[in-house]
Amino acid sequence: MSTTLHGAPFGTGPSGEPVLHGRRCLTCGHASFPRQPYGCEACGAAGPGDPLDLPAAGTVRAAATVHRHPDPRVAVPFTLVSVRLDGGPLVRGVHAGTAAAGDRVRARLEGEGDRTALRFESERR
Amino acid sequence: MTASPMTASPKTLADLRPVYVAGIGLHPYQRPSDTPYVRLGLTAVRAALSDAGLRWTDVESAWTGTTSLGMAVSRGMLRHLGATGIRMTQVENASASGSSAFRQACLKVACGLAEVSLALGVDKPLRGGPARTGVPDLVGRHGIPAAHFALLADAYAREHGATREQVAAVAVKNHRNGARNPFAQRRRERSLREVLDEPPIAGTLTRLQCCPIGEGAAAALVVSGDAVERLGLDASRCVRVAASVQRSERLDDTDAELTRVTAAEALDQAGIAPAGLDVVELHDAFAIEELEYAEALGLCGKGEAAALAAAGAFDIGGRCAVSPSGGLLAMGHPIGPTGVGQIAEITRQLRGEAGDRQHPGAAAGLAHMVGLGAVCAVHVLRRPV
Repeated sequence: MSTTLHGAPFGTGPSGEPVLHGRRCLTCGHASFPRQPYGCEACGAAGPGDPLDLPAAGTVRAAATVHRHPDPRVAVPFTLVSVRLDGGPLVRGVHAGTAAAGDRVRARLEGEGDRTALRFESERR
Repeated sequence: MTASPMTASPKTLADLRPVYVAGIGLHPYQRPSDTPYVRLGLTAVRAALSDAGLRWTDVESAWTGTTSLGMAVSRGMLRHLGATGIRMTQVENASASGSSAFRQACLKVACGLAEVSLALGVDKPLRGGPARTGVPDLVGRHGIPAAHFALLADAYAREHGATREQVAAVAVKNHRNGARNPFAQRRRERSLREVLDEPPIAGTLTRLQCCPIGEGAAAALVVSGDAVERLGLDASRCVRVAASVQRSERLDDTDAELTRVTAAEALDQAGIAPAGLDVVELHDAFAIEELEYAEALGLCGKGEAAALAAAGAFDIGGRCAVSPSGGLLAMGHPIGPTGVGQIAEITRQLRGEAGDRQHPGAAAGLAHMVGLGAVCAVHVLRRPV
C-alpha cells in the first residue's frame, strides 16, 4: 500500500520509503513515469493503465547546477539530475547537493504536507 | 528503421510544383521595448515586398508565426497594408512557429492554392509558456530551458570528451557573425575569455552561450514559377525551396535524434548529401545545441563537432558556415520570427548578398528549428541558376 502526497507524482511505499508513481500499460506493458490517466505513449492504448510504484533509486546520467533562475522564488544554486531509474524510466529531478554522472542516487522526501519535495541524494562515492 | 506512417505519406514538396523565396525582410531583433508588434511586423513585410518587387495586392495568403501576442495577430497588423481580403492564419509551434509558418506558405503555393504567400514571424516576449497538461513532473519551476541544455552539455562532454573551451568556441563564432549582422540583437565580438569568464547560468553554460529572448519580425514571400514570370520578378534573386519536412518526437527521441531523422528526410527530398550544404542556420539557443545538431545533420561524425567548431570548420569560409547570421545566440531568438529569419539569412547567402558575412560560393543551405513538444522543421534551399 502506498501513500500519495497531495497529487504529487511521488509518495511513500509500504515501509515508508519514497516511491515514484508510474504506470504500466495494460496493453503493451510499457512502464512509464509519471502516472497519468490519458493513455500510453508507446502504443496509444487509452486509460490510466496499472499503477506502478517505482523505487526512487537509480543512476545519474547527467547533472547540472543551475546558478541563475528567472523566478526569484526559486533559490539558487540547485542541481538537476537525469536519473535512469532501476525500474526503467529516465526521470529528471532535483538533487539535494551536487552530483556527477555515474552517481548512484536514492530519493528522500523533504518538508511536510503540500510542501513536501522529493530530492535525490548520492550514495557515497 | 521501419518507415512511420509520416514518412510513408505519398507526396512531398519535391513532388509538387517548384516554389521560390522571392523577397525577404526583417525588423531588427532587439531587447523588449515599447515598439508595438504592429510596427515590428509591418517593417518586415514592407521590406520583403520591396525586396521582391511585389505589391501587397499580389499577396494572396499570409501565415503569421507568433507565440505570445494573443489572438488575431495578423489582422491588427496587416490591415495597414490595405485590407485586401487576404487569407490570414496564425501559426503557433513554440520556437518552430516561424518555420512552420514558412512551411505552410510553401505548401500553399506548391499545391497551386496560391501564387504568392507570405510567411511572417512576429513576437514580443509578453506572456505565454507551454500549455498546462496537468501531468506532473519532479522538477516543477526548477526545470528551465538552460538546465535542460546544461544536462545535455554534461552528457555530451562526458561521452565525447569535449572541453568547456570547445563548447564556448561556438558562442565566439556566432557572436563574431552577429557583430556583422545589422538585424542581430547582440552585435559585439566576444573573445573566448569573455565567454568563459561570464558567470554560469546552468552547468558550464555562461550567459553568452545562452540566446537572448527579445522582439522583432521577419518576413519571406514565397512564390510560384508562374508568379515569377507573370509579375516580372528577378528570377536570379529567387531561391528555390528544395525540401520542407516537419516531424515530432517519437517515444524516447532526443532533440538530436529528432533532428537526425527530420534532416535526413529533407536532404533526401532535396537530393543533397550533408557534405553538399554550404550554409546552415540551426537552433543554437544554447551553444551545446550547435554541436549536437551539426552531428545530427551529418555535417560531421558523432563526437567530432566540438573539435571541428573550435578549429574553424563551421566559420564563414570554413567547410560549412553554421549560423552565419549569428544564430539564435547572437542574432537572437524572438521565438515567432526566428525560423523565418533563418530563411532570410540563407536566401541572402545563396543570392550572394550577405556582404561581409558572405560564405564564398554558397549554393545550398539548410534551416533547422526545434520547438517544445518536441517538433522539428527542416527546409533546404538552393541558389538560383
